[in-house]
Amino acid sequence: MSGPLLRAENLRVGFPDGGTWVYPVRGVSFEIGPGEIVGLVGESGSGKTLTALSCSRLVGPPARVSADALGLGDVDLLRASEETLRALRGRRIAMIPQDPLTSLHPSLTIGAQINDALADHGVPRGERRRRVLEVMERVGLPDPPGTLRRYPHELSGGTRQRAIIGLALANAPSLLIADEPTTALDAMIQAQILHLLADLRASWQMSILLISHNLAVVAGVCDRLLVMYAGRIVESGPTAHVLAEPMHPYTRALLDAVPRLESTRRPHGIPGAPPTPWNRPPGCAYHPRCGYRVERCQGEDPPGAPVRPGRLAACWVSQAQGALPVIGTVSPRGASAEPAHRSPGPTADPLFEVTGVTRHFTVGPAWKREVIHALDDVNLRVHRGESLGIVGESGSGKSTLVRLLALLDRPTRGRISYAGEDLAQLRGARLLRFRRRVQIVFQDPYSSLDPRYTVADTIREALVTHRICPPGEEGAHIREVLDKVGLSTHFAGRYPHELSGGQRQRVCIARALAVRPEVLLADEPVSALDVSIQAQILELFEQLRRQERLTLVVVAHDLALIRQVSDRVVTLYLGKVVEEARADVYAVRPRHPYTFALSRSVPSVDRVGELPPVLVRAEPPSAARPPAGCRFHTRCFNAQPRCSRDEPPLDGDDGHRCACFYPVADAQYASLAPPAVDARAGR
Amino acid sequence: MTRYLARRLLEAVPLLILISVAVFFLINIIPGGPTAAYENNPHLTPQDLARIERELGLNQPIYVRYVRWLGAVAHGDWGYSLASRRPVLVEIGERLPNTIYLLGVAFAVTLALGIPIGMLSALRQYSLFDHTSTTLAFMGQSVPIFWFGLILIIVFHVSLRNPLTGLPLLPGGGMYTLGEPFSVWDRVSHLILPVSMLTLATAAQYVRYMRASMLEVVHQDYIRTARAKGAGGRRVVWRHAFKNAALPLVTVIALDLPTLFSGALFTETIFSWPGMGRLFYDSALRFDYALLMGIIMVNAALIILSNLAADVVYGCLDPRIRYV
Repeated sequence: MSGPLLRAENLRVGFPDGGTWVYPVRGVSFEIGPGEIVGLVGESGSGKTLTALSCSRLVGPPARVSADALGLGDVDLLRASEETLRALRGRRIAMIPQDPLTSLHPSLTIGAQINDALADHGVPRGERRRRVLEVMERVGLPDPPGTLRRYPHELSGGTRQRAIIGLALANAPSLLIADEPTTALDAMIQAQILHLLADLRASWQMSILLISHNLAVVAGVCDRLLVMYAGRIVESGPTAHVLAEPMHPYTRALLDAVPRLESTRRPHGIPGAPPTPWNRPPGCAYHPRCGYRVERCQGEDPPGAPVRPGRLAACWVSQAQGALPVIGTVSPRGASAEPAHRSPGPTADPLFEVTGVTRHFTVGPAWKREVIHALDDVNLRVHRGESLGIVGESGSGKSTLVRLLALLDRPTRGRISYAGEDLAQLRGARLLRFRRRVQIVFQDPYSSLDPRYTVADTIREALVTHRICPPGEEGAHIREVLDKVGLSTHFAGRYPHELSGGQRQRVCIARALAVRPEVLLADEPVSALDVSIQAQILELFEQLRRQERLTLVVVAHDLALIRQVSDRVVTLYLGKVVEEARADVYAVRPRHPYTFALSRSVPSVDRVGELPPVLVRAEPPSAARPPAGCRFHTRCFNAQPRCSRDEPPLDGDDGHRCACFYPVADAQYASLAPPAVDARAGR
Repeated sequence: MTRYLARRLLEAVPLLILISVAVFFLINIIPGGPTAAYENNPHLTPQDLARIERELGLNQPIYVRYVRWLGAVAHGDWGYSLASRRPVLVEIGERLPNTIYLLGVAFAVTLALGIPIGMLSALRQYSLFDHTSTTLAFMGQSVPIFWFGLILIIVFHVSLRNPLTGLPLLPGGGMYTLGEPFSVWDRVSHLILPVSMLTLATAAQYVRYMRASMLEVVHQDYIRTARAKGAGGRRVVWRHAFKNAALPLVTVIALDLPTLFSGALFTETIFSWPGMGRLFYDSALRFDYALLMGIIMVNAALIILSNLAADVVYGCLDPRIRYV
C-alpha cells in the first residue's frame, strides 16, 4: 500500500461570530488509505458533516477551512483552484448525503441526473446512456430502463438512496464520503445499503468514509473507527479493538447506548447533550458528561495520544492507566450490568379492543382511483399497564393504527373500543375525557411543537383544555411535569428552537403527561434522534411507566429498540398482523419469516466485521395491490405454492400467535444467520 | 390532460356568468346613467328623456335587462356602444391588439430585468449589487405608478429636448406619430415611457421574488449534491437552482396579469394609448353599459385563461404536480 489517499492534519473549520471565530471543527487529523473503509462516529453537532464537507472543499463562505495539510493523493486541497476542485469532485471524491429526498434535484429524472454527472466530467454523449444503465445496475436499482425516466418523488426511500449512490459512483471516484447514508431508512434497506458499500470496496477498491451516529451501523463494514466529539477526534483505532475495549469514556458511552436485540442489557443514554461550539466547557469538552473524570479533566484539554499501538485516545485517564478501568457505573447516572427492571406487568383488563379494523385510503384521480390497504382486518388488545410494541417497515400500517387508536382517524370497517366504550360513539364531554386519557407523542420533535409557543405555553394549553387544575395554578403543574421528564424549570420559558432534539422530545412527552393520561401512544418516538439520546428517552419511558402506571403503545421500525421498551410485540406487514408474542420470545425465537428477516437485519455492535444478512428483498409490494394469499409470499424464503392461494390465519395461544403456514424451523436459525454472542454481556 | 383542460374550461363558464351578474348590477347601481349627460340640455323635455330611456330599454327592471343581455350574448350579440353606435365586439377588436402589444412588451422587459437582477442579487447576497438592487426594488414598489407616469412625461417630454431638432426628447402619448410614415424608431420611442411606467413596479416585485426564491433554493441539499458531483458553476446556477427557483414565479406571473391590466388602465389613460384601458375609462365616464360589460367580460376571460395557462405550465415544469 502506497501512502494514504486522503490525509488531513489539524483540520479546522471556523465561522465568524460577532468579531471572533468559533470552531465547530478544531484540529482533526486522520488518514484514509486506498481501499479502506473508515467510520466517523459521534453525536449530532460533533462536527462530522463539516469535516466531511471540508474534504471536498464544499464548505462555503462565511466559513473558513484551514489545516496543516489537507491532501487527496498528490493534490493539495487547500491550495487547489476552484476549477481543479470542480474537476476533482465527483471524479475522485464523491459524496452520499444524508437525506435522499432533499438531496436529489426534484424536477429532473434520475436518468438525467446521472447523465449530468457524467457530462460534468466530459464523458462523450454517445457513451453516457450505456454508462448510466451500467451505474444503475451496479447500485441495484430495480428495472434500470424504467427507473431512468422516473422522478425522485416517484421512488421509495431506499430506491432514492440507491439513486444518490448511483450519482456518486457515476464517475468511479476513488474516495466515497457517505454521510449518514442509512439513517433515514428502514433496517432491511439499511442492511442492503451497507452490503452495497462493502461490495464497492471489494470490487472497486474504493475508499469510503462512513459517517454515522450509531456505532452498530459502522461496526459491520469499517476497518477503522474515528470517534468525534465537540469538533475533535477523541478516539481512533481498528474497529474490533475500539469496540471490544474502548479507550475513551465517550466511545464506551456510545456503545452502551446502542439497543441490542439479543441481550437483556438495557441501553443507557449519555446524560446531557453535546456542547455547541459556543459553550464548550474548559478542559476536556466531554468532562461534564463523563463518569471517569478526574480533576485534571476540568482544567486541561487532553491531546490525542497513543495509548496502545495503533490506538489514539484523548483522555487523561486512559493515557495514564493504559486502559479505561472497568467500573460498575459507566456513566454517572447509569448502571451497566444491573438486571432489567420490568415495570408492573400487564393485567387482564383490556383498555383498547380493536376488532376487525380495516382502514382503506382512496387516492388518485377519478379515472384511475386506487385503494391503499393501510390496515386489513386487524384484531388486537392493549391491556392496562402493559407496554405494547408495534413493529414493521415503512408502509406496514403501523402509524395508521396509532392514529386510529388516538381517534385522529376513523376505521373504514371494524370497531375500536376504549375501556368498553365504542370510539365511534364518543361525543362531547365523553370525547373530551377520552382525549385526556389517551395522549400521543409524535416522531419528529422538530415539527410537532408550535415554534411560537414557549415550553410553558405548550403545556399550559393542554392543562387549560382539560381543566386539569384551577386557573392560575398552572405554573406549579408545569414545573412538576417538567421535573418528571428530567428538564429543569428554567426550560419553561424557552422556545423549541432553543432546545436540542432530545430536549424537544422531552417537552412533547411532558405535554402528553401534563393531563395525567392512562395511555401514551408513541409513534416512532426516537427515530429522529441520535442513539445516545434515544436511550435517554427510552429510559424516561420506562421510568414513567413505573411511576405513573402508564400503558404504553410504541411504534417503531427498529426491532432492537422495540424489544427494550415492550412487554409484547405485534408485527404488522402490509396492513396485516402477522405475528404477536412476548418481547423476549421475539428476540430469540420469532416464527414468522418476516419478523425473522426483520430481526436479523438489525446491525449489531457485537458482530464486528459482519454485516446483517439480507434474507428478503428490501422493497415491499404496493399497498394498493396487496398480493393474494399470504401477503408476504412474494418476498418469503419459505414460500410454497399454497402461500399464494390461501391466507394463513393468526394461530397460536396467547403467548405467541403467528400467521404462517411454514414458520421458521429450528434448523433454519442456525443456517440462515447465526445468532451473535453478546460478547460483552459477561464482563 | 385533455380532460383536465376540458374540465377547467367548463368550470370557467359558471364563473364568467357569476362575474357578469356581479358586474352588471354593480355598474347599474352607480348613480347617473346614459341620459345624465342630457339632463341639463334645455332643448330636451322630460318626455324626450323618458323616450330615450325607453328606446334604450332603461325603463325595464334591472333583472329583465340582465336576462336580455345574457340572452343576446349567448347568441353572440354583445350589443352596440352608446357613444360610437358601433358593435361592442368591433370596438374591442380594434383596441385589444394595442393593449396586448403594450403589455407584451412591458412584460418581456419586466422579466428581462426582474429575473436576472433577482438571481444575481441572491447569488451575491449582501454585496454592493445586492444592497443597491434591493433598495431600488423597494423604492420601485413604493412609488405610485400614475405619479411616476406623470413625472416621466414632465421629464422626458416637457423638460428634456432633443438637442438636434429641439423637439421633445420622447413623445408623451399615442402609439405612433400621426401622419408620419411607419418607422421602427417612431414605434419604439412611443413605447419607451409607457413601458417604463408599467415595468417599474412589477419588475421591482420580480426582483424581490426571484431573489427570495433563489436564496431558498441555493441552500437546498440538492444544490450541494450537484456541487459534490463536480458540476460547474454555471450548470449549478441554471440547471439546478434556476429551474427550481423559477417555479413559484409562474404562479406570481399568473396572479400578476390582472395587476398589469389595471396598470394598463392608468398607463393608457396618461399616455393616450388607444387600448382597452382607455376604452374602459372612456366608456365608464359615459355610462356606456354594453361596452363596459364587453370589456370587463373579455378581461375576466383573459385572466381566467392566464391562470389556467399558469397551472398547465407549472405542471409541465414540476413533475410532482399531477392534474386531477
